[in-house]
Amino acid sequence: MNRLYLAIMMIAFCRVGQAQYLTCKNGVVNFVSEAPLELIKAQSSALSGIIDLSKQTFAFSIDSKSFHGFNSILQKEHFVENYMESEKFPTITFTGKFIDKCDFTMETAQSIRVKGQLNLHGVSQERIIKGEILKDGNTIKISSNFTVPLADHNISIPKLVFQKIAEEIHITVTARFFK
Amino acid sequence: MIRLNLYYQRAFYFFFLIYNIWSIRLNSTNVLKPFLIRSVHLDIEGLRTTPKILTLHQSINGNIWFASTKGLIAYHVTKSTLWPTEKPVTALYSDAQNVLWAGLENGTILSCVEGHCNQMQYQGAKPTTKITAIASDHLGQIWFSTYGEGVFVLSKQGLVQLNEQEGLGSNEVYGLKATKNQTILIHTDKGLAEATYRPTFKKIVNKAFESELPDIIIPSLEIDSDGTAWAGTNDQGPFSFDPISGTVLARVHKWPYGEINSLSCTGNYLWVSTKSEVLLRVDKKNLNLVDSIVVPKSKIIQLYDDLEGNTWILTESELFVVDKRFLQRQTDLQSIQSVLATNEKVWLGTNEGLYVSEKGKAYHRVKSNPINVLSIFQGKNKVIWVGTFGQGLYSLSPGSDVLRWHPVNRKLADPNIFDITEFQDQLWIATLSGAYKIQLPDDSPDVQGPVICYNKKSGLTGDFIYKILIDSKQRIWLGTDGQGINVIEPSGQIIHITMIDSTKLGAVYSLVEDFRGHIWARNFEDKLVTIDDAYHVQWQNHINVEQQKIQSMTSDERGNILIVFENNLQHYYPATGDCMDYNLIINGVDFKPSFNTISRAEDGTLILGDASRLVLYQPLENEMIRKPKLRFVEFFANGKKTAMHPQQFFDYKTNFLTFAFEGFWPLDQAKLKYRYRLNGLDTRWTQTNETSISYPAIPPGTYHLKIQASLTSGFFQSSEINYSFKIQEAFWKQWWFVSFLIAGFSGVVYFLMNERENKIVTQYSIQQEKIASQLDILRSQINPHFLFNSFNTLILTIEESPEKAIKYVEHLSDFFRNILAVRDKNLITLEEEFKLLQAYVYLLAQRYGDNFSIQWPESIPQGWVVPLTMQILVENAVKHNIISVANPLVINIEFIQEGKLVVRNKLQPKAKKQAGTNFGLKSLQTQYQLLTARWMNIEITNTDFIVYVPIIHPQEVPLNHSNQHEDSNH
Repeated sequence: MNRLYLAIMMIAFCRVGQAQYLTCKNGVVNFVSEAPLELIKAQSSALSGIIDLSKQTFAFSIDSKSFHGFNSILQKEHFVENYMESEKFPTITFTGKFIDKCDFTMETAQSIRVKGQLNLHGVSQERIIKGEILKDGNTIKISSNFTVPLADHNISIPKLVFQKIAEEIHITVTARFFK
Repeated sequence: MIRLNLYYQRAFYFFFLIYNIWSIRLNSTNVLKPFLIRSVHLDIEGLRTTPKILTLHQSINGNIWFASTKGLIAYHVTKSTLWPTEKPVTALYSDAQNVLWAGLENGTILSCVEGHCNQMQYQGAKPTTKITAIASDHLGQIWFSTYGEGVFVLSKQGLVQLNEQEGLGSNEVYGLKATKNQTILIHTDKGLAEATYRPTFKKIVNKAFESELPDIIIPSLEIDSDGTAWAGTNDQGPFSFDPISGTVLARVHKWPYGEINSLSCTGNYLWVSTKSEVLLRVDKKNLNLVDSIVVPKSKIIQLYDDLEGNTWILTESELFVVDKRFLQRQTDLQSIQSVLATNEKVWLGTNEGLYVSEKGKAYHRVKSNPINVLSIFQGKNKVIWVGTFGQGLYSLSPGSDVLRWHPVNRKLADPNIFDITEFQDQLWIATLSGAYKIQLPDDSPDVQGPVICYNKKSGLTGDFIYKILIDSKQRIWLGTDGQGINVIEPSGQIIHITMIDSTKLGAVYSLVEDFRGHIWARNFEDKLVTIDDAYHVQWQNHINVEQQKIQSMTSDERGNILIVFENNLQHYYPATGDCMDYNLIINGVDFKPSFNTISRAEDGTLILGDASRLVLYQPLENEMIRKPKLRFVEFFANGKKTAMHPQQFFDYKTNFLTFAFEGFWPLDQAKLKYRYRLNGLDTRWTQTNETSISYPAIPPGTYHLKIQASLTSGFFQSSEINYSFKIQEAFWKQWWFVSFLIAGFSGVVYFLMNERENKIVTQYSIQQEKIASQLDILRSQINPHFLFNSFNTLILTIEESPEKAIKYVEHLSDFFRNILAVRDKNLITLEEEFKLLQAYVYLLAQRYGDNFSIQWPESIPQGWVVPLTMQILVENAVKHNIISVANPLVINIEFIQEGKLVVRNKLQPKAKKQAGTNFGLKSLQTQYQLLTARWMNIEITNTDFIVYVPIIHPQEVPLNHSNQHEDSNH
């Protein structure tokens, strides 16, 4: 599914002769839920992404089942089945465009903001997300941290466990892009 | 927490326990809200739940509109109305012509005039994405911004699109506003763009990079009454911008609070919301954050400044209205007795000491012995003077943190200092032993004196002084306890103002000078007086109509009067007579300040001290006197809902009229007062708290109903609605009906008179005839022949059979008696008539034997005849015909169908005609004709003599006849 999505994206972005792409295959996504009674941490390194430099657009995708590192196996099952509903919504995507102008050739860190549709749990929300770009040799490192309010994506927390899961999940993304 | 966690894991029971404790803790932290904030509830006709509100707008005529996911909502206090739309309404705007424009999520544009919405079809381009904002420029062109297709201008040529190709930074437009520069300012992810459009040319100037905006992502933009633009950015906080010069005026250097999604720019502070529950207050001058306040429970979607100076806070789940003029601050202090606001500092005096707060920080106590602070005053060189209860005068110099006691206290006869003021290097203090004028030293920090005391000995009316006011004419006004006002003129002359209209002025606690130089005083009975330059005293009773408890008075920067009551504040404008009344009961917490705990800061903010909190009141610049809105809701005529039309007419029966109306004052609906008067019926206004008026029986006439709504009992700035109507006179009181009635009546009278005359004539004739016929009958009955014949018959019978004779005499006497009995009657029944006839026939039968016989009818029908008709006819037959063995006389009596009685006999006339004039027959004929208008016909054929007697049917019998008959029966 994940690959298929990317492939579609590749085709969509493809313009013969003029397109310049940056791609990423195993970017790292960390998430932290800091609730009054429990701290949950999980991560995935299955983030794939593509940046169209000429059009200043991008697309990210990640398999919602690829997260690991919960406090227990039961918790992961809970996460996958009850909150992400991965059977129904297997991928999380974020597609959009760059707002701030950025120079991908500069070797100092640059702050950028992108605007796009974050599709999580089948609900699409427009987000402006702040990140940092750093050219590191042949690769371009993109990192960002932001929060996702669960209510924005129709993820409801049962009253009995609301002290175990935060209403806002902190996300950290680090991805290396290659030409 | 760890221990709790353990319990929680063991059993859910404990979890619920913790949950409960936690929620209680949350509620208890929900203490005093900082604003005078009211929750607004939307009750929509026909809907149980309110749809999600996306934005709101107030049109020029004051109506409030909401855009929701289900459609457009016209706001009313009792029932709001929803106009459903196919897609959510995302933008609202009303232009100068009061046309309401609504933009939908799918790009559809609606225009609404007087409550009727139409989807507009325009020439040219057509938006298909969400309309984000609508505005109109100075040419009256309507501008629409869309999220994805740039902006559209509705000009005379139709809709014209301006997008990235025309130079717009981004097609995803957050919104647009009209500037005073006759341009439209557009805000997008690529900064600001200034656009103009004429049919001949279009121009878009992108401000993003030329003028170095703090941030290019600008989700929110407002333009204030001065024309300054206030922008809220994604990452760099708010900034102000001059659309005319195209330059940024002020910016923030550090903004950690996130994206600004809405702004409110009325008043001295900019209010900012950040997609969260927190509302930030920012100083408009330097954009420094003043404070952050958690207002509602859910995220703020929009802040909206209405025309009345209120700010509406639209959150994801609730709606609030806030008056930006007011802010309340909780202090940890108890029993605040005096307040002083200086530049950036607030000083509070309690019964424990003096406290100070800098720039909104917490209050800390100024070092001193325990003192009971009654008065605080800032004098020359920023020295703070403190008057105490029983401990004399203290001061605090700038830079010092210890209160200083002054040696001058030894020269005061009384250590209770109620008021302090300063005038030309002299300190004036009010004590219970008079007013003291204290010379301030030039260099020494200690005040020694000398002092001059003004008390009873020096010509005042009393020794207890509560208030000192030095007016613009350098007169010193002293308010005394129970002895009115004393004025020390610059010449030294003392003037006593103790009486007004032979009423004692009494204790005067507050003195204020207004912009005209008139002095306002408030006495012990909470009555207000003004004193002009000529010391003419006037009651101002119309202001404190409800006789509320006045706690303090002061003036604003422009010399208007502020009166602080328990629980409310009145801002009175003497020039116009206008008055604003603000309720200070917030969340059910009463406002109960001490006397004279009010102070005006240098920026014009008024600080009102309550027992433990402060209320800050900052009148808006160009304060607009606001009036509540008022409208008719429903109208009932005779209990039936009826439409209201101007100059309506009602008939005389429709005289029970009920008017339901509705006042609207978003900040405090309960404060509205109403009064009404029906001109033409009422002679005075009637005050009411109800929102409906009934007039049960309005007499015919022309009426004019007036209803007023106001915030004050004095009905200062009231709004009014009125309605004229007419109740018509009953039709029988109208001229045409009266004349018709008179004509008709005369006609009837004439007719009745005529009738009566005819009747009298008829009756008279009947009477005449009756008399005549009776005479005739009597005459014939006592006819000697009849008697002879009868007696002869009797003699013969006596010889033959004495028993028969006795019977004969009985019949004879019966016969005469019967005749006498019926002679007065007009009519008798056929049955009676036949009985009479039988008696007579018996007598005749005895005389003529078998030669005379009657053929009786088989049955006798119902009916009446003239009495003795039959007898007259039989007698007539006997009289004129031969009765012998050869020619026996047979009289045939029968009834025929046409209701007639036929009496017939064979014609065998006597050779010699009997004397007599046939008077009996003629009389009968006349009677029948008069009574029944029918003829008694007499038919004489060659062989027979036939008489047709009309039978009078019961329904034919005139009433008086039958009555007479009935009577005689009883």
